[in-house]
Amino acid sequence: MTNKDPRQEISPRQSASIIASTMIGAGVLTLPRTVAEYAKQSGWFAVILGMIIAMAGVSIMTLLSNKFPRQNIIEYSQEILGSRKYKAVGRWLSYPLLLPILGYWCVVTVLASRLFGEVVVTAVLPATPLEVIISTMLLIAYVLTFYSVEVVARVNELLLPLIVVPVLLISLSSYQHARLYHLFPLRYDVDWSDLFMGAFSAFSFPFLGFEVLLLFAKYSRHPSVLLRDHVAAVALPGFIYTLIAVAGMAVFGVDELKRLMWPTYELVKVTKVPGLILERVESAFIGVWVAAVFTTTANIYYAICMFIREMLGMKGHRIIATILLPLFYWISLRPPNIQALINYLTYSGCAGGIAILVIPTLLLGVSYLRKKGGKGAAHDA
Amino acid sequence: MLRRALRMAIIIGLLLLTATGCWDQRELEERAIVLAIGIDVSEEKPGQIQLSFQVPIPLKIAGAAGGGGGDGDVVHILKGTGRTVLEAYDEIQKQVNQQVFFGHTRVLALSEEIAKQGLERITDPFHRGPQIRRLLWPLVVKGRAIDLLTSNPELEQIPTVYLLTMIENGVQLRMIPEITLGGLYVRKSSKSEELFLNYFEAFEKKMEWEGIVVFKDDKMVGQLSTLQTSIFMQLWNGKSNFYVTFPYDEKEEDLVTLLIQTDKVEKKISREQGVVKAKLHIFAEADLSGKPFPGSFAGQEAIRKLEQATETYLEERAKEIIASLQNEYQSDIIGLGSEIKAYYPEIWDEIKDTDYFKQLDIEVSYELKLRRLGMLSF
Repeated sequence: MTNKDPRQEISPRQSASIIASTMIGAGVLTLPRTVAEYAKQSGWFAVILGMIIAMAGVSIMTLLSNKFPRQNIIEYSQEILGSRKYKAVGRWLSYPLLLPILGYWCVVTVLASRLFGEVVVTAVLPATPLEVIISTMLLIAYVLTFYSVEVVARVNELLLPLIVVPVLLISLSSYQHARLYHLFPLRYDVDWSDLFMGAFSAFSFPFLGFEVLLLFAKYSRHPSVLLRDHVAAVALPGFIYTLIAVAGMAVFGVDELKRLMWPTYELVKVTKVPGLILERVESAFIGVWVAAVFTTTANIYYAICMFIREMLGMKGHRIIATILLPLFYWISLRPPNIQALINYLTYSGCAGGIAILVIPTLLLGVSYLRKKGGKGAAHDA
Repeated sequence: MLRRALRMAIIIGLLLLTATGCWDQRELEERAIVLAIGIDVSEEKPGQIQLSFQVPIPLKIAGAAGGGGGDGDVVHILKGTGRTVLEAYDEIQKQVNQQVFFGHTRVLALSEEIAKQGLERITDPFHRGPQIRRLLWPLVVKGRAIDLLTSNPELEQIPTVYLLTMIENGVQLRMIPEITLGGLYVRKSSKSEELFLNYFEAFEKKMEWEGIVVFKDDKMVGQLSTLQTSIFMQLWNGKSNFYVTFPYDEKEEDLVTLLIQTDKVEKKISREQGVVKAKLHIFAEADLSGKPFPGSFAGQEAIRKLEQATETYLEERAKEIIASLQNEYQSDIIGLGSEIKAYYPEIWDEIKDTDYFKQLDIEVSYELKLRRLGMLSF
């Protein structure tokens, strides 16, 4: 299968933007607290470890995509696991293996927009029903699924700087209230298991999202040079997250940080922009965050649609997207309150985090053992 | 044609959806903006809290649309009582025609009595409420907090603006310690340092900064004067700026005045024979501001002598403060516990469950350099 259609091709930079902007989402709003609960003062170090796990994950997926250019995970998993004689064998072996990823995506995308809805209705729009925030978010994501992959790529490329620059400015300017001693002692009463738990909790929600490349990599223009771009795409959110985790710890200290529901939002509240033009920047920050959460929700929504489309062997995915919309809305209203929501996110994030690390690794291992695919597959292009 | 009309109708319909916000809009001026909050113990109903809000009257502010200005009070004071802060707030909301709004609240004034009873029951709704700024100024008022809200110094139209510029300028000049509501939360939840708040006294037409009040476990236990606060700021983060006047060479009438500026304090923690020692070394610069008596400071020897006299004077004051913090108040507002916790975690592990601050052996030393003599040669 070849993609001569320019509407179905994305450049390496676009591919990196998709990864980075899918990763940056609602998870940042709670990240400093989550890591502080496990790793205390060393929370920011746990974030760096989380980033390394994510980089490992993205490298495995990129290797896998490079072995099978112009294919997505549904296609190459069949090739890896199946036999040439009986096509159906590959299908029956690969689908159960891939379903956890699909299930995890369905749950976590929706819960991410719910998490964002929660902060909006508590902090800035107290009179707006939660359902309105969630349904508008899902509706815009739904609209995006009607367009081609190339449109999705350009939307991400455009929105990424709009997300990154304000967040960088805010996390840097909150350092005016930082106290150095809040960051110490490093690694003192934190053992490696705490640190690893912190790293995994950082990885398993805020850092997830890069796995959309399992589907988007198929449309890549240059299939074999992506590794550097993809690792850089993970490093960008990693850098921002580390800055925010350090800022949260340095400003609040570990005891106060554990009490705050939305530490990143509270960080914005201690930021004073000089010049009295904007005295309180919280609302502007939430405005920027709409874009960040939109790219997460919409990209994964799109990936889910492509996933199901490929599995069912359909041509378009508008019907799938339409059927999914009420389902997503229903899932998003399942958690009765914010604490339950955080629990759901922790569990589904852990399960999903393991799934997206294990399944591609398994596929890559089997592909080496069975000598499927290969670097020399460029002749397909 | 029909398709086109239908398309237009859909677009207009969608555009109309964006205007739904106007249906239940609330304009900025249609809210009762609270500038300052005062919390007292109720005089009528014992055991209850009296809450008071300072709300500006937009029409009376000069320069506002419609002229106005001049006569009468520019602010209105609203009062309510209740068993909790929110119950009292509810009573106020029931007297006001507009919705009360806290997004512009800049001052939270607590009466001394409330501060002595403990802050836990006061701060929770402020910590929880999304409208409340983290950068507002919590203060303790001598006597009743409402007096600070009704006090009108007349230099600014709105009294809270006067108070606000007073604190902000003081903080900028390093004369008043910076402790915001966010800082209050951080100190209150910390186990290695105690809380302090700025202390004000209110008169009918005057507000005066009186130093700080010291807390122990969220209850007010004592107070430091303005000079003591300046020296405390040197011990705390090293950043301080103040005038000091003292008798030179032990002659009561020879009062010399210097402007002391510090930037840095070096904190060294050590353990000797089971006693944890804290050494605070302060680097200070001084300007000679006034010497209203005969005699001269000509020559390096005389200058060195003045420097030493100042060092001794400041050291004595610092020792007094530390003695009262350690013995009388037993409150680690300097944050030595945080210092130990951060850089000497092994020591902290041993002492954190004890009354560590009282048992610390604290030493203070000054290194003062006289930099400027003003426009005179000696």
